[in-house]
Amino acid sequence: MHLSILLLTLRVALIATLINVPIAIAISWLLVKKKVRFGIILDTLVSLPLALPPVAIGFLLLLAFGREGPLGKIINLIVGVDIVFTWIAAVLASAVVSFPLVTRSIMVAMGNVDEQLEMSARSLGAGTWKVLLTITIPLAYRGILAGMLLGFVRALSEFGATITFAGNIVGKTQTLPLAIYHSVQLRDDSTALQLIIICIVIATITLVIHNRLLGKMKR
Amino acid sequence: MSDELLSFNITKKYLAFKLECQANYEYGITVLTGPTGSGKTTLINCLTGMVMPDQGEIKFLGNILYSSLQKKHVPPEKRGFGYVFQNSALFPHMSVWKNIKYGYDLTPPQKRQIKLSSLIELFEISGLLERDVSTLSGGERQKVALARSLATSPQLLFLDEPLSALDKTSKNSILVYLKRVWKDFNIPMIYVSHSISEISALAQNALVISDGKIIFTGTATEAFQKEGNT
Repeated sequence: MHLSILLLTLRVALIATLINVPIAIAISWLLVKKKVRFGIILDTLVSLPLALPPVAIGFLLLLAFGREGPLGKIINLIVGVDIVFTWIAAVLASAVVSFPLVTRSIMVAMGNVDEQLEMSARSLGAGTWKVLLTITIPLAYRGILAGMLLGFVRALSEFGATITFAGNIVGKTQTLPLAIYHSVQLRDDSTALQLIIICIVIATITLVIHNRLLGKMKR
Repeated sequence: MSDELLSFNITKKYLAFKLECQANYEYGITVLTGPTGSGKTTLINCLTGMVMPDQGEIKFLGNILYSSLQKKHVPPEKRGFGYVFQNSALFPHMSVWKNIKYGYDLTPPQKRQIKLSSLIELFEISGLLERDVSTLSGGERQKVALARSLATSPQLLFLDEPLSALDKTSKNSILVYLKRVWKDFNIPMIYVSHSISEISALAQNALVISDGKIIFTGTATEAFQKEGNT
């Protein structure tokens, strides 16, 4: 039972992180390297999920992706499925909530890449994409990995947005935090504690790797 | 045919600083000099396309590289210029060999006029190729940076204070290499320096910039005498 919850949680957190990384790299590049006009608006939008209560994010996702929501209608029309109260909804909720952490870390990492190296690559004939792929990303990779881990650990512990948007359906959308909540509700302290220990172990391993990466970045 | 290589008439504003320059570079080695903060680096960043001027026009061999009127801005990777930075700007995640190959691989085969083997021989860097760039001395770094830039067979080479971080011995040896680059490959250069004396033996022409404006154009000898008198 614990194993299936753990596997679902890891799957949700992993996919949420993988969705976030390319978007976060693109937005970080626009904000840090291209210094786009109206960057302050984009920057604020990126950070917004950090400042909102997760339950509010879940509700907004419900409105957008619900059967009557604008995005929900489009998805239903194209794929013929309703994603609310499915594991995909849990992935989306986790992705949105963890997005600012991934993006912030990548922004810092990209900001630390010496601009002269990128200018040098351009003088050697590299276009914008080539510079991003061969200079910026390889030199910022530790920060990108650190951002991924931070996003992953945040996605693992996501609760408010997930319960609102994906529900708490055993075997379908019940991730570790929701299972802990469920056990607490049933006053099943033993199960709740076992699940909490699993959470602590995963979070500790992830954070240790994250901190090691950050330590190497600062050196 | 006119000797005019590069001509420009541009303005660029940065907060309180305003660059307002008009000049023609002739074929050869030109030294661009002026005090710190006079706008030397801003000017070459505009000429190489790294920074877009606010207004004006830049022409290279008669072709427009930038024109505010025509809303044209040729990106740096398409200008065919080499650029050697003060701190070498070698890619730290690549070996010396990969650094040198980086631009060579990006140069279309029909435009490759300089062989990598001749550069390795000229700069005497065959023993450095497998080395990590972090293990190189200042002089070795600048030799690799020069070789890397020349590997793209540039039509014009910009050097932004390439000797300022080097000791006297390394400075002298790099100057010898620059002399050989001019002799062997005939690539015109624009050499940015605080002082003309640093490259007086090599430069033919000089531009002196002060407070964002060009205050002298002429031969390097004239500029050197003028600097000596002030």
